Amino acid sequence: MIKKRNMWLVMYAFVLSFMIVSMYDVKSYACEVAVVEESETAGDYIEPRSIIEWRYKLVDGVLYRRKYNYTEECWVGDWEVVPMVEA
Amino acid sequence: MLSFSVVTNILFFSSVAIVVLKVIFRNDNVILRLDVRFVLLCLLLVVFRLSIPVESPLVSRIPVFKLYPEAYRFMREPLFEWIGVGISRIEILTAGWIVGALVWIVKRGRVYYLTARQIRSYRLLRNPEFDRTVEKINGEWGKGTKFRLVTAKSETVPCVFGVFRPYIVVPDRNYSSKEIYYILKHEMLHFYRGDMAIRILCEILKSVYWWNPLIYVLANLVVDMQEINVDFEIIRKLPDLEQLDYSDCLVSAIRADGYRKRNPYMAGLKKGSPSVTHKRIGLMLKSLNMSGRKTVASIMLSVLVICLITLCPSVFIFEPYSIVKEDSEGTIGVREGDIYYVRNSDGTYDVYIDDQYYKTILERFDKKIRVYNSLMEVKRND
Repeated sequence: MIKKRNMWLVMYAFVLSFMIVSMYDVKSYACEVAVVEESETAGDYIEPRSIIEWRYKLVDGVLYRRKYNYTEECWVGDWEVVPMVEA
Repeated sequence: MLSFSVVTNILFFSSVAIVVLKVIFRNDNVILRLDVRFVLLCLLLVVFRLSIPVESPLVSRIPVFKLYPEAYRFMREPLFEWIGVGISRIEILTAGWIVGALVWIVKRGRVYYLTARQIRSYRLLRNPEFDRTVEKINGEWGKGTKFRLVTAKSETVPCVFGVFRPYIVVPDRNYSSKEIYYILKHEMLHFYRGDMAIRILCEILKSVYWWNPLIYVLANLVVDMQEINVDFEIIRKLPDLEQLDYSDCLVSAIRADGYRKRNPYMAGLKKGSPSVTHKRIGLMLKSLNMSGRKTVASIMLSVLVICLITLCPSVFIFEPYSIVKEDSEGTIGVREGDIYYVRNSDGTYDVYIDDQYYKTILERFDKKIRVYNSLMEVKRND
């Protein structure tokens, strides 16, 4: 009797863990602008689960940059002035 | 972490690996050149990779520019709203996948339970010769496992069942001493090698990936390779003539049984169709005439198979790479080539935007932007 219960427990644990892990990535995909911490925008932080790269635009002679998530097709964070050390 | 790309990549690489292994399995000479143990190891690696569908920390993302982005966009497009949440095809398919997996796990669990109940109801086999042979084989392998020998008229082929408390089912008929030895050794080896646990894992995989026909192919390949490995494990230590005796024992099993649907939770002397048993005998006979020396081709093929099975799904992940048209307007991406550096002789960099000089800087602000050595090089690349 105990063995049968154990067998069902193992199966239940497996299914439950599978469900939890599967549901973890369920999102609503209207393109969302994620809030990015200051420390992330300052460095070359790349979110590990997508391809995220900088995009640039030139406005009145000032170069701005903003991260773009090419996997999910949406912006990450806000536009910022590109920090440059001029020669 | 599990995501659409991770699952898609693992399924893609596993599918390619299963097709390659199926092709290998069809060719006896390739199996023997690669070694039956290596082929089984490859199959088990695919089984374990599918059992743990998570992203490796060493992963490198490969952008895919065509088809994949469109397919992913189609999948994640919200179809309707439910409790304020947009539901896309990914959510619908995930829900269907989970429900299907639950149904199959319950169904396969029930088969396991009924099989266990049936085997426990069989009559205990009280034959001193069988008991002595079990002790002898245990001694040969330095094990002390207690096997419960049972018999039933309804069973026509010897088989083993159980992961922790093994039962060996012996059909109710007369056997010679050699037959008893080969039958018990075959069944006991299945238990020692952990084949029963792997079969249960394969059944769980079949339940989880119930919609993928290649997983059923993989599970059947694992079972067939387990049988072939046990055969080879036994004949490896036998003189040539006795190897033929073991083949005779397999032929007797075919005659006694014919074709019966295989129970996935039992490992037996003769499992599967007569063609599989024919293959096992053919492989054993061919191995008698083949040297165990590895050729360059077989080593190259081994490396290729291992790379495909273990390295690719752990090291590479294909990711969709695209940008919405409105987002690209008025902006420049590093891969589009409209922003680049030109290296100067004093170690500084000139920044060019849309082929117009912008500034000279001391340090690059984005390592992904392309660096040229001169404007001539830029023109050549255009």
